[in-house]
Amino acid sequence: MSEHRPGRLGPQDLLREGAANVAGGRWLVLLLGLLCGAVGFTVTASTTGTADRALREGAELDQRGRYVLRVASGIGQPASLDLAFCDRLAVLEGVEAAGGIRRQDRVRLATGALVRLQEATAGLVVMLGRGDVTDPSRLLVGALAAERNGLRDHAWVATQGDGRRLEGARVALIPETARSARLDDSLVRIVAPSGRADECWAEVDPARKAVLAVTIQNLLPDDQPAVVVDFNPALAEVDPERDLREVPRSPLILLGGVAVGLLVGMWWYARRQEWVLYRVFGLGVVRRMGIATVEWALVGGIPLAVGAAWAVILANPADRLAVVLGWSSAAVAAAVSLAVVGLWGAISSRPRPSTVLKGG
Amino acid sequence: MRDVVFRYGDRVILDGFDSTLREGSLVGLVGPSGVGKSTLLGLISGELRAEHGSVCYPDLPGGPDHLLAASIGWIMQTTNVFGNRTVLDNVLLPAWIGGSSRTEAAASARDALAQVGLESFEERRCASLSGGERQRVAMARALAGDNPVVLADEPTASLDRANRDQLADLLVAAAASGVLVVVATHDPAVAARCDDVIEL
Repeated sequence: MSEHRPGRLGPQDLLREGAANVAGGRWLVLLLGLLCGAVGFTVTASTTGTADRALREGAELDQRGRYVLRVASGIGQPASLDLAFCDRLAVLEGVEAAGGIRRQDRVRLATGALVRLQEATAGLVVMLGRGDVTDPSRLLVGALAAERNGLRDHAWVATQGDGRRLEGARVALIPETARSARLDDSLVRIVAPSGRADECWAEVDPARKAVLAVTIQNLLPDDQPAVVVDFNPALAEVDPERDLREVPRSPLILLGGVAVGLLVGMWWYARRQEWVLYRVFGLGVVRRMGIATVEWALVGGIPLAVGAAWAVILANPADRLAVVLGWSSAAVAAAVSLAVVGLWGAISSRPRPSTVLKGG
Repeated sequence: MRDVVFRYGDRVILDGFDSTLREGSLVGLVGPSGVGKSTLLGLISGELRAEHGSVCYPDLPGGPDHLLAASIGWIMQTTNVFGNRTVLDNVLLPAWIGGSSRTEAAASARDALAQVGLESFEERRCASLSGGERQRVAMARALAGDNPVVLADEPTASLDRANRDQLADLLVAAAASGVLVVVATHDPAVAARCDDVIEL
């Protein structure tokens, strides 16, 4: 009669046992692995992509002047502001640059084309990204106007206003940004801060944006119908920081984890009698969990990681934070899948072995 | 087994059941479905505990707590094997889990496979075997490791006559070698081969 000896299966034995079970699964394991890989790819691609986009948008919006407040003349009340007032806004605490702009009559180029002309103070030119241009003899040219009229940076251009006086100037192209969009089809001449203005622009510290909007509103003379508005209301709707904060809370991570858990659970469920046989043979719960973990890793975990790696490589995010968020989401999905299969394992180990082995 | 009482809820399955099962005998449990044949096997294995009475194992070290895992070979009606694993892996598994080295367990498994006539099937995947062959694998697994007790629950239910007779021969041979074999069966041909029959 044999004497019972407690099981001696070590980690290597459990690894070998789990690997042998998985290797025997062949096509089913391959299919489940591909599906788990696809889940890992989808979750990671989504989170990495979202994070990368949010980070890019944040950087881009910062560059484009998301935090420029515009003080505009009221509707139907053009030129009610003053260029000097616009420039003086720069002295307010939290205002990084300020300037004014006003529309002028169209001018004719030497080619005969009529182009809109605007006049802006040096402070506003800084906000257009051409702070290097301070010489009033330079003529700033919007991107669309430059394209339509074949104007290049540093080229000479001759303009003729209503007074029929020809003026020559060297072109300084305005970079294409959200700020410059409204000047795209215009020529912009740098002027001293005096006389009327249609709009004031103030680039502000993002943290003080709301306070400064109120402050500037209060500074407006009562007899000047003007309002403080965001530079671009459409851009105000974009919130990259919020999008970035939402990345770890993406429902896709939870769904992906549950999906991988269910896929591995399918693999286990298809072999539920085999788990009961382990119990019948006296394999304790800890070692069964060890084998199950090996199988989870081979069927779900590793394919998920491979899918995640592939997603990160393809996304090629510019910021390391996007990579970290992508991998983190894959790790969370993996943890969720482990929890799901653990729950499944706990439930499925409840029936009596003989019941399950009889098909119950 | 002395004065064993067992019930599922209000349904009494065994009420004052007495019996002595001796090593080296083939014992058949017969009776209609639901009468308690599988329950009795569960009580013998230690998987179930009697509400009243006692199940004693005078010759087994460790008593019922270790019996299920260590000293019993099981043969079930179906789903008896690891389908994706080789025949050898299936047969050596209980001994390996029980503490034998893999080499020892494999040697014991080969002996058992020879006893059931499957020595050339070692590397075959169980999923590729017929139902009769799988039951012989389960029989080999039950015999490997010198288990003193083999419990079989409807082992021939899904087999044709030839395979049934072959498995019955193996059960008889196992009992002849000193193993206590208890088989729950509906099959009169199997019951007829038993040394003792307990009708429930």
